[in-house]
Amino acid sequence: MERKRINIFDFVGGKAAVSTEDGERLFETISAFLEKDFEVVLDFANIETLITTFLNAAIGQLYSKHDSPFLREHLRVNNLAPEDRERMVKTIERAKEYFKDKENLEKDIREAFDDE
Amino acid sequence: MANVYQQVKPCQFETIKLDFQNTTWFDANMLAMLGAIMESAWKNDFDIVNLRPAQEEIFKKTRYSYFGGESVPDRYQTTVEYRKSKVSEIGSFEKYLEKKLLAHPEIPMMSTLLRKKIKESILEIFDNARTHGKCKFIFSCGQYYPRKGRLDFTIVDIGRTIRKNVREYLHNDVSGKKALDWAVQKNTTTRKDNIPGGLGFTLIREFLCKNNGKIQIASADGYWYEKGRTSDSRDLNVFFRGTAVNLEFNVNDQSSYCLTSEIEDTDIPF
Repeated sequence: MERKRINIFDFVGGKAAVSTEDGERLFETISAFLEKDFEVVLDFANIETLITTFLNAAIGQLYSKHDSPFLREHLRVNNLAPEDRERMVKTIERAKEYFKDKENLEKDIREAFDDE
Repeated sequence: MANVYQQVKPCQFETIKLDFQNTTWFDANMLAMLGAIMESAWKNDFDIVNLRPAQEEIFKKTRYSYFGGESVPDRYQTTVEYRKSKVSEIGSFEKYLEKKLLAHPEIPMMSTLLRKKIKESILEIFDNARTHGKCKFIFSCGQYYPRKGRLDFTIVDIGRTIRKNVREYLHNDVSGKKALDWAVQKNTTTRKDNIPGGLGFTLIREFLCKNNGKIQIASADGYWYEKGRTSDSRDLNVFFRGTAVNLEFNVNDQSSYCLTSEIEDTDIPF
């Protein structure tokens, strides 16, 4: 499998990965390489600020197109700050939950609200 | 402040006098709200009168835009500069937080992780305002209380209210209070696209709970707050067409914010 390394510092132009726009752009870049069956390595070296808005758009959104086994095989991360790994894990868990049964989740939420 | 908004809202092409005669204290962070209100009534001129010298000093310490950016030195360094940001400017907003808030000379030395969590929390709120408020500008300002060891930072937008977003999502004409009660629940989001949401706010609540901080939200006619593990909400008798979020951080927090698990890059469970 061919490999594509994306340096996030270079990609966002600095040490803060915070905007949804940058996240969307990264999502599109990752998707393009995944569709060509590349292994994509995301290098977070020197990224000091990483928030869920960026991660939801860049990583969470991938679960709208691909399942876990595919992403486990095709996606890697490097040099993520230890405290950001938890954030990444939570983003992934949230994305899986969000897309697992999006319709039912929304229905459940509405029903829970109507019960009050 | 929502009362001021109510009075200003119907005015057009008038000179609105904001009289501070009976105002004895004005927290600097509330300038974010005042800035948003003045912006919402941009078809008018404003005349701020009877500001006490100490109050005018607070306005100028923060470089409040009414005074055209005129500033006076903040000798005790208790304010964080006022800023009106375009929603697309999250990158420069991040730099403003770094320079004007986290590098604030009077704020005690905080651990790297605490600083990071404060910054992340504010940025999450900024992006929420952009995503859900669908507004043009975001107004922010901060007040530091050295004796209490507290830092208040307020972010205001004059876009779609939380009530409007929740009503559309639930197809239910809920009150402002009910809308906030729903919106603050774990992992809820009004997003319908392919970008998952709801996590950022959950993380802010977890952090503020540990930090013994506080969060207050006012949007439409609803108000919600949480301090520690105590939260409450109510309907207001005034309406604000926008959302104001006040975050209060305990800057003397000695929590270690150690990680709950040791995960390696290779363990990320895609």
